[in-house]
Amino acid sequence: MTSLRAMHPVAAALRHPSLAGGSAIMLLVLGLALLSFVWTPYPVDAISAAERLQTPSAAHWLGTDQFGRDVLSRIMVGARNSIAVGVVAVSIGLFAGVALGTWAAARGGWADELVMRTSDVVFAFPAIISALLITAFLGPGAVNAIVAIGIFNIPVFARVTRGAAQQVWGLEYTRAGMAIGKGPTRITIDHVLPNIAPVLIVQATIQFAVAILAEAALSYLGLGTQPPSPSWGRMLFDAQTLMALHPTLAIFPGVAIALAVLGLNLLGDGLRDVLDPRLRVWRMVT
Amino acid sequence: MLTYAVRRFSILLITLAAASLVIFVVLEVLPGDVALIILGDAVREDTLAALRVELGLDRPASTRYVDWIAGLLSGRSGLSHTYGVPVTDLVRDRLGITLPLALMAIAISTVLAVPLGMLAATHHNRWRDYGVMGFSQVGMAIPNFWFGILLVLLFAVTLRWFPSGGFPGWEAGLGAGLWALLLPALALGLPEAAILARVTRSSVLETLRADFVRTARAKGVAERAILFRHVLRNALIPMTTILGLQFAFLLAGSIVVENVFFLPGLGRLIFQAVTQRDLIVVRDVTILLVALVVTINFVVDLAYAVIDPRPKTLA
Repeated sequence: MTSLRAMHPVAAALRHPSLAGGSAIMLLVLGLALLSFVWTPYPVDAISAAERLQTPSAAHWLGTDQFGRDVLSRIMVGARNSIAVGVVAVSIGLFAGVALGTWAAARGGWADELVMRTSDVVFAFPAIISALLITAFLGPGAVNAIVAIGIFNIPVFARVTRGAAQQVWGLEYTRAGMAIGKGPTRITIDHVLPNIAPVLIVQATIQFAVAILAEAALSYLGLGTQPPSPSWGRMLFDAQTLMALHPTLAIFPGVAIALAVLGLNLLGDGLRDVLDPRLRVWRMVT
Repeated sequence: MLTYAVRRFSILLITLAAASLVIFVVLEVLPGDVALIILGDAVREDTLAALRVELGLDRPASTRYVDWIAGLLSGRSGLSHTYGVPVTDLVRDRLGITLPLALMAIAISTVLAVPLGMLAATHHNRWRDYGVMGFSQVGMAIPNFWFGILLVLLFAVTLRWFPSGGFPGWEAGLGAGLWALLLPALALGLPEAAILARVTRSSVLETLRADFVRTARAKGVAERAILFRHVLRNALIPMTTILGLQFAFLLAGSIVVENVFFLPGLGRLIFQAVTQRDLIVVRDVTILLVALVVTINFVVDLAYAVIDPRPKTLA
């Protein structure tokens, strides 16, 4: 019997269905997003009245929109925007949340209470409501959407970090570290963070999926990425008025969102199985 | 239990007070001249001055905050700049759509998810289990607003069974109202069903492995009776928690889905208020939604404490 943890990461991924499926989908999405920096089938904003509302064909694999713009090219650049929003929003949540969560776990008492109760207040605002508030204050735009989604991520990471860090603080080697004179910061860096990293990686993957969904919803409402910059959510909004005539316009951007979120969810499930043995369902492979 | 309930309730009050302060500061203090934001730059100075007086901007922010909270507690709300009526009147009308919509979505989600979750758990690691888990993964990945668009495409545009949007009003009859809400409720409820099916599956699986189930089997109790009388009842504890949390998510999700179906509900009201810069409506509807979310969480926590009386912490 060989445990997944003992295997080379790539070999473990290939033998785990969720991890393999999720990785493959995310490589595809990431690959398309990166490729769009150097190549798209057509210039992303190239308008062509003669080619408007075309169905999928050899020339335009996913058809064209109401301005004759190539849908595949726009989906590729849209992937770039979605990933960028996800990465920045999750990074905001990860850095601020981990800092607060480790601080709460290390200090305990009033610091812990302060972090938890502040989390309660932020959690009282569902992401879309906080985005609406921020938009009402700052106006619509991709940056404001990132800020809104990022703020919502902070208490998520703070709570996960605090819970996992508290467990590490209760372990004997942490107490041994204190006995030899290590301070809370040193113990956090040396022991807490390396031990809770797997939990954070899994949570970051899940929050990435949530961020992509939130960005798509905000862009659909006109509060996220602004035209002419392509965004999957905005493409769906534009498609809605034309779907009686041209239904494929309402399908491909939605498939792109669902595929990216599915890939991240599968990746999260797989990583949890491989990285966190306490939550592992699919334990061993022979 | 009483100490827990009192402590939990005081946290609810503190959370609401802090949330109201955040809303007030973000909408009425940070932006500067609220009257200018509402009316825009191209406006006459006397109109601007009149609105400043109407909104009480000539008074200190602290006084306005206290007045706002006192008004909310006594059932008085601000006047919508766009509609010219008190926000409470608008909210009352809109809740008549959003609340039934959220309840229908919860019903659809539960009716679908519980049997599916049980089916998966009782056929663990067999093709039915894989099928349900596959449905769950896909369901969680589909954004509710895209699913709504697909439903409109199929059932309204192609088959013409449903209206593609709008709401005829409850005065058109209960049947017509429910019919208009069915597709939006499906769009909201199906992705939630995917999550609930997963939770049901895992909690049923966990209960199936419990000692009392083994004892019941050893006593010769029929498998069906074990499943419905013992397993499902115990598995309901985590499911209740998730259902409560989902209700809060559905209220928020209705903002997007109501826009897909052009439903004049609470979600569309707040969205339109943001685009029309009707900050009084944004302020009052936001605190209402936040209060709903916090209250639902409080009720779920208490229900959980009653169903599962093991000691609780507030973390």
